[in-house]
Amino acid sequence: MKKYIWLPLLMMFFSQFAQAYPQFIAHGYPSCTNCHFNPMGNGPLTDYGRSVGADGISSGAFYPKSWNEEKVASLSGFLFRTPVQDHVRAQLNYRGLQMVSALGTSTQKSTWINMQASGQLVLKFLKDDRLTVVGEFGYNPPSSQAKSVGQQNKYVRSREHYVGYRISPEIGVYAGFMDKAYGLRVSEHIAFSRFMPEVTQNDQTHGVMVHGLWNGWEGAVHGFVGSLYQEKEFRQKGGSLQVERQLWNDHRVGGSFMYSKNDYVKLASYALHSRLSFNDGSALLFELGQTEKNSLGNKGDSVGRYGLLQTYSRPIRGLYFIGNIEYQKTDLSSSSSVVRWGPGIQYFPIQKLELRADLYNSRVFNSNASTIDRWMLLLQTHLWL
Amino acid sequence: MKKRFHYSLLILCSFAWCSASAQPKAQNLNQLVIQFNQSYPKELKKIKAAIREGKVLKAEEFGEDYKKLIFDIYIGYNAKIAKTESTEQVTKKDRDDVFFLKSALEKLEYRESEVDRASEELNAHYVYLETKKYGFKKRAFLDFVSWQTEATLSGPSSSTALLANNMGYQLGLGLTYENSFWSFGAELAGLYGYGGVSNISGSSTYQQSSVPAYGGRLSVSGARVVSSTGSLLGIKVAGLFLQQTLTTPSVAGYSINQDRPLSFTATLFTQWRFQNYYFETEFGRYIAKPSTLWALGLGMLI
Repeated sequence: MKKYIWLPLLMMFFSQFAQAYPQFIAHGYPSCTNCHFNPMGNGPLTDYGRSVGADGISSGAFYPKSWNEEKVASLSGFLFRTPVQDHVRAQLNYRGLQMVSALGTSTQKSTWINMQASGQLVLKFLKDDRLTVVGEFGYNPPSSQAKSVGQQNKYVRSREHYVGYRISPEIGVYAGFMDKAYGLRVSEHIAFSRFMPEVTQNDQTHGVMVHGLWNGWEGAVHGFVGSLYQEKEFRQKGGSLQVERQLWNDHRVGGSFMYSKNDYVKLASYALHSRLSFNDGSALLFELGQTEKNSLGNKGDSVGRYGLLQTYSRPIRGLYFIGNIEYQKTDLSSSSSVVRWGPGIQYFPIQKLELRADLYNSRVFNSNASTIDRWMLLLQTHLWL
Repeated sequence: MKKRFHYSLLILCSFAWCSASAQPKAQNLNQLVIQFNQSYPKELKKIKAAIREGKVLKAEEFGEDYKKLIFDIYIGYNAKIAKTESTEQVTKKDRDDVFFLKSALEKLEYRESEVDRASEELNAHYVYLETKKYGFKKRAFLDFVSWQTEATLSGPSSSTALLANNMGYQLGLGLTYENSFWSFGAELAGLYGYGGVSNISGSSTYQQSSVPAYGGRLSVSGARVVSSTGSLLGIKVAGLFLQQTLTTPSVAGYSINQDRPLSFTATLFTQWRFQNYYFETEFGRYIAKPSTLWALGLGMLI
């Protein structure tokens, strides 16, 4: 039984990583709206976001010395071109992952996974791009759990498509298929903070989201009817709320709440979270939450708790040292809990290229017994054009 | 004309000596230049009074050669100070003279943008010298720690590996020697915790709940300061003395062989500072043992 406890965790590694980096608060970007069309992060980058990626995030070490920041930024557009019109933006993405599981054991296994090969298209209109139409389509392998929640096992599909309208700079309405507004949208889909409240790589939903940004506050209210690509009885209908408050210009603290249900299960999740900036690319992200799962028609109720602490240090431009520390207790009545510790390195050698190496150590705590730690190595390549 | 030539020659010599790192000579020379400057007593008196009383000077009443002379001496001083490598090398007189020369040039409204730029560079150098200064800091900390203990259960026919995943706390004191770029430190801490013990191999079954463990830890560290708020990224090497006594089974023929209580660890650590308080993470391995140790802690400067 002990060894099977790891299977769900292993399966979750067969997933794509999102393209959201809430740690960039440490570069002076507390809000996602500057760099992403989706105000909650993730998805295609704005022109400004592409420039930031080129000049502020990636290393300048490999560019010719004669290039200034303006020259570098001028290459940040689609296929290294400067946009010549205002209404259409495109982006191509590829993510590949070398996963070495059961590291250091006789069952060690190495697998290459093409996590994502997709195209994103943005149409934008009106003054200050107040009206946007955003879509993503391409190769996105479904998780091994997809069938169990009524998803069709399609490899070529969309993970988001929506229409957004900013009524004013402070408030916008977004309708379509997108990620739920909840918690910190960290790039690791395997994070307990994304897996337990079901806001991970295949949990997008159809719905309407209202996003607000006002006087140091930012938040979103999201009403959803579930993914229409799922069979009707599996669709999680409900709503969520995510609010953050800016403190001392540099930091954000906030909370999230989400409630949803389908024919089989009711799910309530709530969390406190914060993003602290220590300047120069160094940041601390923190989330502590609980999920209450109520299985309708039987006594399978449970309350689980999760914690996330991510540290980002930037010794030199383009290079980030990551500490990914997670806690999970799937059932508060159980005596077991898991702590997963993942030191990693994220490197942006040039614009549009991210290389990442993460080592994960998982340890089960039980006052009555001990098991051997599990180790996993993930090597990721991410390209966007 | 003769006098002006004399000044120019001296200033050129001063620059040359500055460039050659002949600072004492350059300093003497600059003093000499200022003394020569006192051969303009009337002008100097007017400038000093204007600075002291906050009055506006009529810049056009001062000759171009005189203004240029002050500007050159100011730039010469800046060049000299820019070559210093510690705050001790910049004397109070240097600082006072430079401040006076800058104030004089402001009153004379002479080459203002160049004076501002030179002043900014000088201030940046002062800041740099300050940040390079090493100092000692004492601190106290409390960490939540997890570590592993291994043992072997020897039976009549075979051996079984035992493992305890412990969690507990370490309370300690530390001393760091640091500047704005690097931090070196030493820590001493006491540990207390507990863990469940199980067999992880072999045919024998062994289980013991919440076995207490205690000990001490002495570590040395070196870290790079990676942000302007003083965040650290570094390495820690520690000697760990831990005692955790496992109960020997009452069945005849069985005994428990525990590892030596002294072991060594190498860990990566990050530290995040909030003024006099800090948060720290630490993750690493035992040296020459396949076990892992990690810690999360809070500390304060004392």
